[in-house]
Amino acid sequence: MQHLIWGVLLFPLAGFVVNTLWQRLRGDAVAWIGPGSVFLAFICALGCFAWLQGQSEATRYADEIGWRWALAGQFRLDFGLQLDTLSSTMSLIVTGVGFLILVYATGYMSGEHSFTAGRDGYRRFFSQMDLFIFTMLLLVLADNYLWLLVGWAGVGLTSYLLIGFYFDRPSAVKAARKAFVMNVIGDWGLMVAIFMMFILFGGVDFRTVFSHAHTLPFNGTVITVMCLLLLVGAVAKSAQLPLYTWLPDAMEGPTPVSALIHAATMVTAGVYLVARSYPIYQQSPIGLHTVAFIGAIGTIFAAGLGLANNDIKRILAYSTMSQIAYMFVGVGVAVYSAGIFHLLEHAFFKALLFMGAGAVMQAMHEELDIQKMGGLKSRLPFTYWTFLIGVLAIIGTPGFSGFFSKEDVIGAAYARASHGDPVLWIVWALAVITAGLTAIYMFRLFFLVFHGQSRDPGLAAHAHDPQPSMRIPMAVLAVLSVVGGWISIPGVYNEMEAWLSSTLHRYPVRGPALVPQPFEPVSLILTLAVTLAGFLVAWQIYYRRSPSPQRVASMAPGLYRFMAHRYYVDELYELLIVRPIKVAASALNRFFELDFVDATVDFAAAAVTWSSRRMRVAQTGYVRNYALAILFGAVLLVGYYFTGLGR
Amino acid sequence: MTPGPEHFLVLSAILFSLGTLGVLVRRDPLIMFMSIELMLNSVNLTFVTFSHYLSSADGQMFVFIIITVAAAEVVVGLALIVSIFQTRHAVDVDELDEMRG
Repeated sequence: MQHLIWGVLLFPLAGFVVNTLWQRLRGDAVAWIGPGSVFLAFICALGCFAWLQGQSEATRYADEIGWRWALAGQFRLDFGLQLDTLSSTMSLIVTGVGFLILVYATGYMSGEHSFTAGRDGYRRFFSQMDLFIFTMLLLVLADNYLWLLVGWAGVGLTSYLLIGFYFDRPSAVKAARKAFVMNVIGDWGLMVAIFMMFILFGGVDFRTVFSHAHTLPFNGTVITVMCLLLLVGAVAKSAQLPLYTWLPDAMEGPTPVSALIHAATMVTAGVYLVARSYPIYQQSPIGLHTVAFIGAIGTIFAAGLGLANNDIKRILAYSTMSQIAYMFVGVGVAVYSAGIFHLLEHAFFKALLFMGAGAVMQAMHEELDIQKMGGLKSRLPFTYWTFLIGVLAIIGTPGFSGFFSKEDVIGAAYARASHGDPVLWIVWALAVITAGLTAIYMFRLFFLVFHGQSRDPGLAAHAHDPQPSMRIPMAVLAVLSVVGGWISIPGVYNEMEAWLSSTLHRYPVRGPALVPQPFEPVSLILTLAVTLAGFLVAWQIYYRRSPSPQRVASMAPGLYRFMAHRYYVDELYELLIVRPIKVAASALNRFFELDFVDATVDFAAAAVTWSSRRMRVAQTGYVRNYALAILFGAVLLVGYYFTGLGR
Repeated sequence: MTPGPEHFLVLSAILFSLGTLGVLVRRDPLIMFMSIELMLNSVNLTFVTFSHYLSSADGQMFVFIIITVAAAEVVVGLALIVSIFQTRHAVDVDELDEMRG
């Protein structure tokens, strides 16, 4: 049963190969193979899940070794897959949510969307989506850091391909390049961390690394540097501070791509990396604190960005960044199950929200500006209700999935802070404030899109709900966004924590104790109050009074401009990094390139020309001259050996 | 007087030198070819001589190979000469100096 894990990995690969190589495949065949292969992988993942359920807690894992990959001296590395509760959860998310999004995409991409992207954009889209799912599964299933890195870089590549899916739009190509460059910075961090593991532990597979991690000096420089390097990778992949600017631009890709890659799965890889590397992070409280603080600052930072944006997909992108920052808080306070729990619920409701945004875009002729929308409630009733469920889930309305997972994260920060780690009060406070901001910006989006009067009646004239192939996945995710959180109710039972504990107790660790999640009523009530306050603010500004962006902006013009320009971070990066590199490059071009590199090359060419002109004389073209030269050479050689000089 | 190996070797050396001289001084490609054949066969003679006196079949094997290669070489060479003659109407190797640098 545990061998089914190979099916999880290989079915999407097969789907990718077929869709790529079989060029004459018809559109409806593509639409079956793309989601179908992922569905088969999902079935396999369910099989693995059932097998894990049947095991006792102590043996709830399987190391599936495929073959010996490399053997050099003491170093050996197998290509193997790690089946445990963490990778099983991740593979269920990737294949399950991935399947639903691919079904949605069969409808969404069948219209004008695929015709604007080359002759067979439809086939290209599904083959790249399958490739993405394959690399993502490789990332979460690999049993060593090297193959994790392969999957890591693979999702970077497929993300690049899919952001630039509409390659005839310069903005899409630019966004793809930006995402790729930022992701490579992360790859670099992860790579250097892997080099460190190889030097320190003599291996890069999880078993070697994790069983030796506790032998390094506790909170020492070495382990902290390793944690921070891993964090560089996690931050770049998960679009956290300071490497987040690629994520909003990545919304240039088709909406299902935004839903799958830039909301539900790929951007959560950083959270997975930290949770997976818990024996390393446990060894370095400084590393854990850095993760928690990057998360806490990121939550409020991204929420502010979401408040002042008018692009429906970018608002969702910033909310993704903010929610992933919550997951960072969860893993950063060493309650890994809380982070993974929020990852799971976020995959449900954020995919749902993006699907809703796609339905709105389809109805509004690709319009993204929420200032031109409004009053869509009566025209898109189905989208309206599913989107509302998504919004209620993300802001943490009691009973909805986001409530339980976010409460887990915030409660975890509270518990750590009140039990001997007072620095984390800051983290907790930021997380609570952001809960209120989340309610404001999500309901701002919701009210501006669906309520009030239509601000561009011509655009909304023919708006209607999407076709069934898009509606069914939305309905499934809407149900999951409600019931998905019930696997873990604070203070009553915590199935998520119990499920992951077999993974989290496999290796000996030090550092903060891996305690069961305590129930924190104070934190809970405060968070709910702040959320309700945020909702009321949004209600007052954007629902009761007819919203006018100009008037809202004029309430605090300086602050609004600051946030609407995304805190000028893009400009700051331009000034601090891009500009100096360009100046240095042009200076190098003028002085080094021309005077040294070019001069050297020119000299080499001139030297060859000069000497060959001299040597051309020897080429007379007469056969007998050549024959004589050969004879002469033969006589010399024979003479050389004959006289004994060669001995 | 029975001929010993030295007689064969001296004969072979004379034939080889004649062949070399022919390649170097003659301008007619046909004659040059014959000279090359002479050189090849003088080497064959050396092989056969040593093969006989050392009671080893290795030399004979080389001779077979050389005869085969020489036959192939003649086929190609003659074809080249014929085609040159057809295009240039002259068979003087000194006129064929297009490869001059």
